[in-house]
Amino acid sequence: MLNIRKTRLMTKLAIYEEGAGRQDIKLSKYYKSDYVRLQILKTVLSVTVGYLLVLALVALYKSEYLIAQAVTLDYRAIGMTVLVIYVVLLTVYIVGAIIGYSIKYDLSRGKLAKYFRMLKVMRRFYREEEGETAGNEEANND
Amino acid sequence: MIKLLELRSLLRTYYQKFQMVIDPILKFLLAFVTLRLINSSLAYEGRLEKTVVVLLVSLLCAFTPPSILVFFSMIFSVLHIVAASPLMAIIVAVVFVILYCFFLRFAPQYGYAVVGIPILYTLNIPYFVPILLGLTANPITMLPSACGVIVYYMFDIIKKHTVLNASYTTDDVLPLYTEVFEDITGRTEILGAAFVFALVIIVVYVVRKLRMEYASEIAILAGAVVNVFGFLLCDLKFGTAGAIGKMILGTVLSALLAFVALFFKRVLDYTAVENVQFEDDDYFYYVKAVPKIEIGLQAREIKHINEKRAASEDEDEDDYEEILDEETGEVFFRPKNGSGTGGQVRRMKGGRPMPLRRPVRSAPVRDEARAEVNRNRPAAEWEASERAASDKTAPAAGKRSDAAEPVPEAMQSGQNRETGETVMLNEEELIRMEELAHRKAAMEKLDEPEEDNGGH
Repeated sequence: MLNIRKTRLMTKLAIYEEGAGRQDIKLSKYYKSDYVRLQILKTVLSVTVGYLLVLALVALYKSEYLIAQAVTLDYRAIGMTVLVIYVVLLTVYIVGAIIGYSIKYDLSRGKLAKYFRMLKVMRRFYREEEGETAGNEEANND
Repeated sequence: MIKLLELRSLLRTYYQKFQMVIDPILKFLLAFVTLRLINSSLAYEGRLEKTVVVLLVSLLCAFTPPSILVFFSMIFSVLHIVAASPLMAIIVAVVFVILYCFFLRFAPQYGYAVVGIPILYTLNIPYFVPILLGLTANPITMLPSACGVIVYYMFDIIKKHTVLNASYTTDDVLPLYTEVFEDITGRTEILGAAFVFALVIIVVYVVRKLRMEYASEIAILAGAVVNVFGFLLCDLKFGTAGAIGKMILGTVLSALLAFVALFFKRVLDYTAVENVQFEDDDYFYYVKAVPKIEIGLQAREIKHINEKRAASEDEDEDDYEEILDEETGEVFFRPKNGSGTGGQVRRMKGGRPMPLRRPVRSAPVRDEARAEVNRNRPAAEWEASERAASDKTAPAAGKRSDAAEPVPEAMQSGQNRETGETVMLNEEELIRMEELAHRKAAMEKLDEPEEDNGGH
């Protein structure tokens, strides 16, 4: 027999799992600190790649000057400038990532709490069903 | 307002019913318009402009996530520029990667803003995008909106230089690139526009989140005002004052579009039909879950104003309903329906009925008209109107001059309608009649003891 209440609950769970909950369930596999650290790593990587590409574009733009002044250039000063800009950029992005991804994680936990409550109810349904099945089997044996 | 709610309910119902068709059609139309606009704007590659190609890609976009449309838009743009200048195409591709690394990676689901802003710039309503993002999303959308602004200006500059230098050879690519780079870095209004868009998103988001009535509507207006003032300041700063009128008009149009979008957002929120599949130990389930939220359509009520009553129907007291006046302890009788004579009967509690019929003296025309209207009113409405009328007449009773004049004039000129038809009396006249009845009773009482005394 179909259990209408169980079907309703399963439908709600499936809607959440296939929709908004997909991302939340992914996050639930991590501790908050692990998740934020992973995202910081990704952010550092992407900012580094982006910064290198920007440097490449600037270098292409200044290529004539760089080639002409290749011998007399103050590479140390240029390197320091590039590095300082990179560190500042990285700091801004890391702080932003810590704040942003922490908020994201906390929000997902709030939504997941409701999902876990529904899962508990679901477990109770299964226990009741198992109890009924066991009772029927005992009655048949008697 | 009720019409709007009905329309909303109707739209919601139809959307739920035809969601499976409406969604792909809308996505197809969006993709088709986007790709056509890119083709008309960067018309360098003839093969991409063929309708078959556009239709096929649009069809693909109709059944895939919105990020695919963003991807194809970028591919189309780059391929167009490849046809004109391969080096510029590489640079454009690099710029796209940079934008992804710095901005788009943090909010990939809002990638459509990157396509939307350049496209709406061609229609002069790019301000719609930040207002919409503030209404529907969160402040992180500042990043994709900044991307959109950069992409628009980049293509604007590249288009200009590529058209002018179409005959460049391979040796001339570096100077071309230098020109484009200098133009991009020299256009400080790019930063200004990105900053104003970010500000609009924050203002709309903050106002929308306030706990007050019409927060979303006020947020749209606040966003529009911030947009106008922000771009005015930018224009003053960068000296591009020629486009002020165009900008204000575009902002107004964008705000109107945002109101329409808000209406549809409220209509379609939580109305999506969910089709889910799952299984347990015994069954496979294929469930279509339809949300219950719905506003009922207004019930249509037909009122018969001039309904004729059957001649055979008797007009007895069963046709009247009893209304108790709690203040005076009097009982009123009022016809239950609008037909019949419409006469009002009044009697003291437990006393003899006293029909208020005046065969000789007629009420003023004003009161007759009111009586005609009252016959067809429901009981609650009739009571309310009677109270309102008594409230109005009571304080003005002493001053009544103009309104009361028609009565004696009518009586003096012999214009009384001696039809015997019952009319409604106003409160003042009822009180006067009551006083007369009391005086008459008192006179009778005074007369009685004299007779008795005389008898002894």
